[in-house]
Amino acid sequence: MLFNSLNFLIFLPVVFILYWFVVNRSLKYQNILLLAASYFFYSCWDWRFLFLLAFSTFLDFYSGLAIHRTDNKRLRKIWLILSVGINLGFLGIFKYYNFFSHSFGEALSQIGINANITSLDIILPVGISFYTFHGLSYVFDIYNKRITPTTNFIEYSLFVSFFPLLVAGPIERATHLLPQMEKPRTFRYAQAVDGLRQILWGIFKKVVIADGCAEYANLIFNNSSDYSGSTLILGAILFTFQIYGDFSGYSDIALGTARLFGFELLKNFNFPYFSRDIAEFWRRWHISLSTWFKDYLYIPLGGSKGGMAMRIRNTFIIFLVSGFWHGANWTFIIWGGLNALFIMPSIIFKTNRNNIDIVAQGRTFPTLYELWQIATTFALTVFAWIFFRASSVGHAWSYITGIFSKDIFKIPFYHPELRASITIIMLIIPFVLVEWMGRETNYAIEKIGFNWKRPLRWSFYIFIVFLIGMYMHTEETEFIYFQF
Amino acid sequence: MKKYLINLFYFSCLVLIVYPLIVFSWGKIFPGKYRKNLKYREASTGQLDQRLRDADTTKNIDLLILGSSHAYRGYDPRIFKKEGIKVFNLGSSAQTPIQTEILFNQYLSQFNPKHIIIDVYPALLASNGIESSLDLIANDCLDKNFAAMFLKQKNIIVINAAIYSSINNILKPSKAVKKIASPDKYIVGGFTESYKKYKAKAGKDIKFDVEISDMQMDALVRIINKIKSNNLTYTLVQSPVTKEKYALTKNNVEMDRVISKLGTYYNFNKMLTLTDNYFYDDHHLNQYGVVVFNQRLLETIDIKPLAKYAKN
Repeated sequence: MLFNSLNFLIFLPVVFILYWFVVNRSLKYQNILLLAASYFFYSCWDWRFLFLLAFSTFLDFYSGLAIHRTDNKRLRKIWLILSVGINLGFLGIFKYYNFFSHSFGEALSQIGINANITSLDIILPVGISFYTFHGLSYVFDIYNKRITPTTNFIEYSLFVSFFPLLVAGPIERATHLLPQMEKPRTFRYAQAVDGLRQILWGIFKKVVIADGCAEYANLIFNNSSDYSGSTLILGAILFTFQIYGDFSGYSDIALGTARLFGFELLKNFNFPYFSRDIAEFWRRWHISLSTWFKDYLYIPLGGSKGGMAMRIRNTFIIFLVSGFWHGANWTFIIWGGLNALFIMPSIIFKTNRNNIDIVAQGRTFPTLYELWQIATTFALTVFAWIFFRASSVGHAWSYITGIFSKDIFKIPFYHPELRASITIIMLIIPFVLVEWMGRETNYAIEKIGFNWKRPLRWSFYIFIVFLIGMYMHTEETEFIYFQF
Repeated sequence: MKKYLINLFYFSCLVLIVYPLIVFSWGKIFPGKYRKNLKYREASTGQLDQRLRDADTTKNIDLLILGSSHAYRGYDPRIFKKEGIKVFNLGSSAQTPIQTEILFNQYLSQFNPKHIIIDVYPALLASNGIESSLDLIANDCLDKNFAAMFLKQKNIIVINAAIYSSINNILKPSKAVKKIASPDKYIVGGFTESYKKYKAKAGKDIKFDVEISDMQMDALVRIINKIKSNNLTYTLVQSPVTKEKYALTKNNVEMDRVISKLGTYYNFNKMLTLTDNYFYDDHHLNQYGVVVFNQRLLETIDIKPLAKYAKN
């Protein structure tokens, strides 16, 4: 079931009504209802993988208890290895088996050995990377004695599979979400209104901006050899907005939906395209994943405590692993590597925490220098996204060489099939302006119109509804991050 | 909670009122390319406006033709009239069973036909039917049958067009029909006549498999069930397209098998060999082709006895 589907439009109010009107007197029943709804939500993709989700949940729940109940270091480690090994084993089989087998086969053929390695016809279970990371963080936190495990299996199951975050995050932490599962909930008007507002903005980002950009980005990327350099640049920029609209739109809908049920999820995006350097970009893009890698990989590897060499090594490791987390393809690994390269100057010169505040905070316009910083950071991310979007490394390379070899100064819309892309570009401009206006809040329209009279504020929301109706993509399209 | 639900209710009502007004205004202000999901055409190339006005004054026919442009360009009422058979052709551009069902329900009692030919073009059974819905919305009065269509199609383009059309009709009830320059000639009885000859273009099209949509198949089955429940007879026909066009569908055999399960079925692509001279374009007959096809149809399907009803 997609957030941008009519089925979800029916599913959400039904669960909402049952939650607040039927089982509202019992926390236990509220959690059971949400768990049942989450399993139903997941089964709409493929019910067979519910068993995998349930097994993974049970494994981590039981491992957590077992680790906590013993002081024997060896036994604790065995349980940790068992949990991590099985979780990563599932991830390895479902997500990475074919990648490793192909890469191994190709490596052998390079040295003259023709190995007949069979690939498996495996369906990737939706959300496996996300719920595996939920479970892992829980077990790591117990092992490191940051938290004590819950003894309530329903609450833990809900923490792993809560439907707004089940298939594409944010990657929650037990320290943040589990206490919310344990506390009785009361309906808060402001929180529920905020939730709906965030859902509205998320839907706009997904079905208008992301899907609108996807139409032309796909056309340009899929036929990149036919287009001029300037059109290829346009394609890369459109993909840059597509992936932002798609993933941050998903996150907004997830956060907004969770708010309707009284939960606050981790913020996943913080206006990343207004970053002044790559380090700031990575503090603002897919925050829950970046912090996950920081806490469970970068710091255990020594973080920045060692010398410069260790910092550089660790930075490369987390970016490469992060790239690989996204997908079993060399394009993602190179994308991660590129980002590591881009961030290196700020690591070496220790300027990576220069821009921890909000750009042009308290001002309407940025300074020229800030604008230059934003533009150069944006250009670097656009360049890296080419690898992320391309179907293979060869495709990415031909795309980049195409940019510099063919008519880079030609008007990019001269192809008849691209002329209508002017509409999406005209929508991107006000979209960026609204995002800029709202950059000091949790999501762009959180405070816009907050002090306006209700008729004016509601008119603004209705206009967003209208823009969705007039410019949305008419077919339901999956979110990009579902494939990860 | 009460305040929340009340405000949500008010907001939803306001959206239901204001949204149509903005859609209509947007449609009046901005040209087509700037209003992506509002595709409203006040006249169509398929002469549907004339056909429906003609249909409104037609009663008690012998043979009703349902289908897409293959229907209104493929069955000439004048040829059937020579055999004493009164025909009305209720085809519309890219008409899929979803729209066929609406038109059929709308005109069945008025036409009171004895026999029905359903022209079945497999590619349209795989279509979402949007194009034809837009054609109908712009040329027909919206009624409860359309509401059923909106629910089935669940498509914002169709809904926006319906909103625009409804407000347009309220503000301008006697709309003047815009004429589109065309070599086609409308013939009483719903037929569109053209003598244009097709010239094949160089280049290779990609072959494809038709995957029938459940929604379209369900609508087709409902139409057939309604025909049966009214004790009427029917025939399923696939009218000819050019050899090259026919060969593009890779699963023609499967399509024939599926359609023949629904009733008596004739695929004239297998029964007639026509050169490009008999075609208007790669999948529509011109008048020369229509004459050949209709003669063969009359020889194949036992519909001549219908003439007796006409004389009665």
